[in-house]
Amino acid sequence: MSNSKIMTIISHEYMLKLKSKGFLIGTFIAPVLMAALMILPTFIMMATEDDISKKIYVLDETGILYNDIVQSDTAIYSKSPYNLDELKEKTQNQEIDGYIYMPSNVIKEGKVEVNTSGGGGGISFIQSLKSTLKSTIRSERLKNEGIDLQTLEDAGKGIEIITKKISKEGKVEEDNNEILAAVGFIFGFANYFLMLMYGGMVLRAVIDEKANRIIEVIASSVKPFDIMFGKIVGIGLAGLTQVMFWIIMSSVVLMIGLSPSETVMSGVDAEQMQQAQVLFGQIPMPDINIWMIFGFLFYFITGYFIFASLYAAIGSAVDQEQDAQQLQMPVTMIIILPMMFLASMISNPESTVAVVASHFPLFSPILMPVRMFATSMPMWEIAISMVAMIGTFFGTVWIAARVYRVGILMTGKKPSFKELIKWIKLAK
Amino acid sequence: MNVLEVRNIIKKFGDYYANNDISFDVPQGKIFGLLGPNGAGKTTMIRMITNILMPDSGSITLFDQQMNPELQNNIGYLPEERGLYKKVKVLEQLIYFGRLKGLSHSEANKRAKMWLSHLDIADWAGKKVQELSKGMQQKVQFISTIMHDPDFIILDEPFSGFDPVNTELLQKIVIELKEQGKTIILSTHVMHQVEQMCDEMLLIDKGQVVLSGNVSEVKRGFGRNNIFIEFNGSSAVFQKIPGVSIINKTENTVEIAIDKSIISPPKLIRELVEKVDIYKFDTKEPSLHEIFIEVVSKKEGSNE
Repeated sequence: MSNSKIMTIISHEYMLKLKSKGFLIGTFIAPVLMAALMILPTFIMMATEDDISKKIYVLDETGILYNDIVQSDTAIYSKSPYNLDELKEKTQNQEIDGYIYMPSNVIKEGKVEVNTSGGGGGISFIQSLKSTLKSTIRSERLKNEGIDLQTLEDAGKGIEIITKKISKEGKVEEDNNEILAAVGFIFGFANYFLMLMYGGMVLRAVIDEKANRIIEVIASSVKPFDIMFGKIVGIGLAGLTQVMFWIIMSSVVLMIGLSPSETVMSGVDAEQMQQAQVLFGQIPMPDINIWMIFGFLFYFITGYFIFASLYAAIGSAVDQEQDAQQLQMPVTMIIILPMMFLASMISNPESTVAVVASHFPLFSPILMPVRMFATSMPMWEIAISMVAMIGTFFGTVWIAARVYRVGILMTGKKPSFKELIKWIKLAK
Repeated sequence: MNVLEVRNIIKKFGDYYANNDISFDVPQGKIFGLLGPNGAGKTTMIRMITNILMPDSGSITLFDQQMNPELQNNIGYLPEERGLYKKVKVLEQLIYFGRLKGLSHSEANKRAKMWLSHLDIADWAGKKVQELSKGMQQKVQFISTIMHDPDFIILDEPFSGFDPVNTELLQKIVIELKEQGKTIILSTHVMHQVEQMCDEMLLIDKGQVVLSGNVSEVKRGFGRNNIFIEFNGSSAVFQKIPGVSIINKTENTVEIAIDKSIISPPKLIRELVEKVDIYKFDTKEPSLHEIFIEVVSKKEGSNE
């Protein structure tokens, strides 16, 4: 009987979220906006770059440097047919936009004069000019010192480290540590983001039900624990739906992006298929095993429940959202805090700090996935953490249910932390 | 037969006694008035008999069972503070509340539609609650209270926010429910509704019972002290009779209170007949309204 009521609440909360405008916007429009935010600056850059239609003359007393500059953008630069005084006069009269003057000692001194009628010329203009001059002057200086350019190139060749791991069975495998750590980072960050976002949704849903006095009607039909639990599960499922949608969408976009557009438009062409496969092959696929995915899901689910129930308890204690801000601070801080360990976690997953922090149950949902991916953790360590997580899960849900039970019927002044603790003790 | 038996209920919030040793019975098929000034402990009591709150001590028996969550399916509760999801459609909302009371989806759907047309708001089934007028929202809430056909119904200020036509419609439905054998607790501050509808009543103040019993008996217990007289003559005579005090007077009528230890109504008539012409002599029951005010303010006074 009671089970079917929980199911009713879960499906109600799930549908309520799914049909809400915020959810639709978040699911469909947010990714589009994100994409637009990433693409737009590039467009703007491209559009403005075309605008630079200056005419700048290069006066080079050394006679060897001008060519590189002119070659870098023939539309702007050209070798000056005038002398210095003429250039100055023409710039003054705005017949030309400006000139670059390189004295004969430029290679030794490294000082170049840029004179423009309007002044400045923009950071990107200066930057590109600087880098062009830098490499030209540098190789000129080296040549003067008698160093062969080829020797230099050989000396500067990059160093590549190939990491391999030797398994217990004695097999030597290519180790893709870095990629795995990156995947772990993404999973850890995903947990952080999801716990904050959906925790906040639970908080608002609880407050909304209390502020609209619906809670009394529901409490006369269903046990408070069932109301709270059903709400957390329903919203959690809505969250999962959203995440699944994003994952599917982004993999579709990735596929379309990676394969030539004709393939998508006009069926699969064998040759193009091969091209796509080559492209895929260039991205090394990390060997994520099923246990890693299971681990991530475990920490996502327990983490979400722990924080969502804390948020539900806070929501039940207040009458309106503004009042919740102060009370939710500590919970939000606990979610944000482990983010500070993330970087060191990736670079040094075996350090004492990393081990201790990742075992702290309130940090584990974010830090454990990172460690699990970044390094091969011993089974017993994972087992200890999982037991701690389950214990914390029951503990927080129990505490939250007690606060919730009292809180939903309390109206009036906002309770202090002291009072919340009293509720936990009082509730029957 | 008693549907609800409340025994020695005590409920404290901190050091404050919301209910202090309250006992009463609600007989089957009756409308039972639960009365009391604001803050008397009515809502706390209602929350305990709907299993929302647990008493600190005492027992609540409904349908011969100790109060437990399973009983909630047979209770309909209309809280004073109405609560609906503003952004959810009327029908959808009713189905949800029906299902929380144990109805199947199709049954909840059927009954919600039936009641919506019965209360003349079937056209609004697909509208969001926030688009409805206050009166219509009240109707939706009322439907959610009774759609699962509970045998025990608690209505807290059920007629507030209704115009006279709708009040009458709802009153009629409540009476019909009673005639079907349902047991109803009606909590209200509108005393004439209690006089019109309730069979039994309980008046609580500051967490304690101050008055209880059959409504007409309660009134009779308070009555007979006031006498209404229509006469012709000088009203000055009334002031001269010992044990009589004037409450109200006009040119030809007077309402008096008598102290029965000094003078009885028959003796009063004998005295009056010689002095004025009497057209009408009526012992008058006080209204519940007056009883309420008298009892509650007397209690306030004695406490101070």
